[in-house]
Amino acid sequence: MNSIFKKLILGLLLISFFSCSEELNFEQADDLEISPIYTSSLVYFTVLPNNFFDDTGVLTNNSITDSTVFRAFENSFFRNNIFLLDLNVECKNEFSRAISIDLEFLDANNNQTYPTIELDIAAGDLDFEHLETILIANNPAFVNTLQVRITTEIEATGAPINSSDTTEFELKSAVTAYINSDI
Amino acid sequence: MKKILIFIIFISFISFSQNKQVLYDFAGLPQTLMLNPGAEANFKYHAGIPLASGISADIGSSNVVLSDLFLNDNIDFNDKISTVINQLSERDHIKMNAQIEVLNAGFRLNDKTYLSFGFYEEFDAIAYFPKDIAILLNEGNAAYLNRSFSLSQLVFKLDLIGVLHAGISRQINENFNVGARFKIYSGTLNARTNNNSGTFTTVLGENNIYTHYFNNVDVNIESSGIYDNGESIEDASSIITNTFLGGNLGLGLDVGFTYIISKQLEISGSILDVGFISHSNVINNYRAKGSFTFEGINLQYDPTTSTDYWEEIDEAFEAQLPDEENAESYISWRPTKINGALKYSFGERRSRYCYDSTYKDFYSNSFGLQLFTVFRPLSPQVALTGFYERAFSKKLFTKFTYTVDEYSLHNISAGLSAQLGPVNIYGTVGNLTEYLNLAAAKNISFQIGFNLIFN
Repeated sequence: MNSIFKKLILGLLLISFFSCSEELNFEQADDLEISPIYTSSLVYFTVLPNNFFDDTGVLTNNSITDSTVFRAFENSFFRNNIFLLDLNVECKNEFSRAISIDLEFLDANNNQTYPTIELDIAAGDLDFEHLETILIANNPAFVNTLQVRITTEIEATGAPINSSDTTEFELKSAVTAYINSDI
Repeated sequence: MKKILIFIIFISFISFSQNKQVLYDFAGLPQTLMLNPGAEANFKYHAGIPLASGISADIGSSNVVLSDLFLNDNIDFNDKISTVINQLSERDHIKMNAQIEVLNAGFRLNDKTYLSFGFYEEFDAIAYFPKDIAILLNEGNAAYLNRSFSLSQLVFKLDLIGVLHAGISRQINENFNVGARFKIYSGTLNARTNNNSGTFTTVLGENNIYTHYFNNVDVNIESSGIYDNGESIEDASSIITNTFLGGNLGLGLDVGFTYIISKQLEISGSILDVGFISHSNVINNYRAKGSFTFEGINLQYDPTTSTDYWEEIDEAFEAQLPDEENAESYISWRPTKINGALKYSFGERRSRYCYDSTYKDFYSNSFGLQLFTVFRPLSPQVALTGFYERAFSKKLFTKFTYTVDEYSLHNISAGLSAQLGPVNIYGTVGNLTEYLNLAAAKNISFQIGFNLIFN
């Protein structure tokens, strides 16, 4: 038998039986964390003068309220792993009167989970923006939020407004949720 | 849990059907009949040592290796994960294949016909890297406005099957040998998803700050033998029962040939696993289909109506993008493989004692080319192999191969087959150079077995 091939076979066997590996540490998997940042639209609405005035231009109700159930925190992944939340609000006030907005976050018993966010939008302000940063560690009750209530109030006195006017007040909002999970 | 997840992620990138480039047409082994039923069988009968006649494994990853993640280098593990996610594409995958012959035997029916039969277990899996989904899970959508995250990248297949087979190799004339193998598959575990579609996109909106689109979503995940009434099956006895023809049955066929062009030149080829498994036992499928656009919750300020906005959106989502679980039976096609080889023999002529008390001449050296193709979910995968085979005696054979495939451009493999009386021992090792550092290996494989061969 050719001695070169003998050596070659021996070498191959040695490689097979005495294969090497760099030092690996599978315990590193314990350090695995994911830190995604999700952004989502929240509530939006448009109101017209007739939401506040009757046909004769009389202010019948300068404060209107609507609310929605908010079940995002029923998802245990979000509830347990969110550590920061940015709430962005954008408003466009075409009215000739100022508008004030109260944003309330409520739990299942209608208790506030976060202090009311009060926004004042001057008449004619078309580019109002507000950023509310909520650190969950400082506001642990926030993850109990089950309802969002928004009260929109128009200034009671001021420039006359025709109820048939097509001027609008718009509110847009979005949340950005910062997650950190060790899975 | 994390280790399991890491393993799943690693697996979630993987294959079927090992390319047994060394074993193909090697040393007249009985196992060559499994790769080409039309291979010549020059023995009276054979019996593999039960559970030890053919053990093979193959694991590979197209673009990530263990050391990328687990090297002890004091780099933050999550930074490594991010790096790996960024370097992989949706065509990258991990493969795993393992096969154990429980039984393999055969006997000569007459001068021209050799019958072989047996039973083997096979696990194989492939999963492509769903890059967009990984980014969405790891980084979220906030930094990716206008980017469409594709659900079509979700592609995987996993199979655990038992295969009962019987084959025939028949000599048509001195130069032409053909063969076929009939297979009954018994599917124990199966999970697969492919041909998914749909995107998730977040853009700046008109009515609200953002608009979120789920466009043309169609995701279909099928499984059998894994979940029963929502509970995962962990009872080993039922899994084993299913393996032995108690599960989801299927049929398959291998065909092959060997044609001797001249005394020194030979061509051979085979098509393996043309077949299917009908899954109707312990089925659990999931399907989501539709489109949905979400702009947020539109407050109406209508004092006359109390609206449950959240419920409305929930109902709209369910109506427009419904998802369901069902137990409908389905068919999975086996990953068909094609082998082809051209072999030129030269050197010293030797004689080998044959089953019919004659001697058959063979050359001590041969070289040639082999082509292997396996049909994978996204596309066929091709491997081209050059080989050199040398017989040191009538009892000792070696084969060296150099393979180019998508895992490596320099896959050097070797095999050895030795006959000690009726006892045959063979072994092959794939990707020899990668054994120098397994942690950085993209693909490693081996086959080993023990047979009793009688001439």
